[in-house]
Amino acid sequence: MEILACPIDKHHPLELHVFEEKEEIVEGLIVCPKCLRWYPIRDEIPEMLPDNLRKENEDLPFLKKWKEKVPEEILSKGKPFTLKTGPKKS
Amino acid sequence: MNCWDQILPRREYSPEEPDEFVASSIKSLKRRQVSKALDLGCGAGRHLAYMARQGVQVCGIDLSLTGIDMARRKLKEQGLEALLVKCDMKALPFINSLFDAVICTRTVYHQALKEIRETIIEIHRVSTTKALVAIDFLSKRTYSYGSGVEVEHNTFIEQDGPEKGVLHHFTDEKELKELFEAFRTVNIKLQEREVKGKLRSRWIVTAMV
Repeated sequence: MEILACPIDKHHPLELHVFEEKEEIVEGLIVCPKCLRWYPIRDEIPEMLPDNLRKENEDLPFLKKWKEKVPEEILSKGKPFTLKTGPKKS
Repeated sequence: MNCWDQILPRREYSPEEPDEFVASSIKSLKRRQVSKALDLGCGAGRHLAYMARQGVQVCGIDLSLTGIDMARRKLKEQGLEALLVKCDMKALPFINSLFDAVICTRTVYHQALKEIRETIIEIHRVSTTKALVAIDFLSKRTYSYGSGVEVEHNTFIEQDGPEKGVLHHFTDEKELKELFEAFRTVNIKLQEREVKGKLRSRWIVTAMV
């Protein structure tokens, strides 16, 4: 985590939320506290794509799956998608 | 699904041996005690494994999860480790001045010129002041120049074959000098060989930040 920065605004440090962990973090969330973009960790791989390459139909189910563990601010104001409002423009 | 998810499992796109210019670059890097290296468009991970075997901490990025998964398996089989991230080379998720080496093979030219320029700016940002950058580019002399539909000057979209729909940008020395003008030293070399009667021509750029 100490080497990762937000791909959009280059903010560092980012926040890490671990949802499932074995030898590595299997599923989790990386959050940029500055712009509130969130990036999933799925199958041990951080997916840190810019907004134009994100797919709502892949990312929202992930957020829904872990909504009990995702910070409330991300659920309501996260970018590029939130559970409450769908796609959010920057 | 990314188009490379289907292309990368093909044997010809996932060779085992490192590209010769990567191997020679890494040899010189070892002498300078490189600690962290980034492979842009790591694909199935041949260069990640090669560099990790030399004791370098490696990070690989790709847009293709299939490629990343192949790289992960290759590294695991060899008892090696790397940080693997799915991301776009034009928007790297790394802090400034992190890597002592950045390599990119058979990848950067699958973009339009504007995107290649953005990628090189990002490479410069994440590289340390002593970093070595090694990248190959398609030359306009190569046999496939002009194949497909031209979408902008010297940039074509393949219409057939395994790379159907994939962009190819072809370049020349003048353009490369302009692309790398922010770098301290830039070495541009044309590498050519004939394979089955076809001229394969590419530029090898090695640059110091």
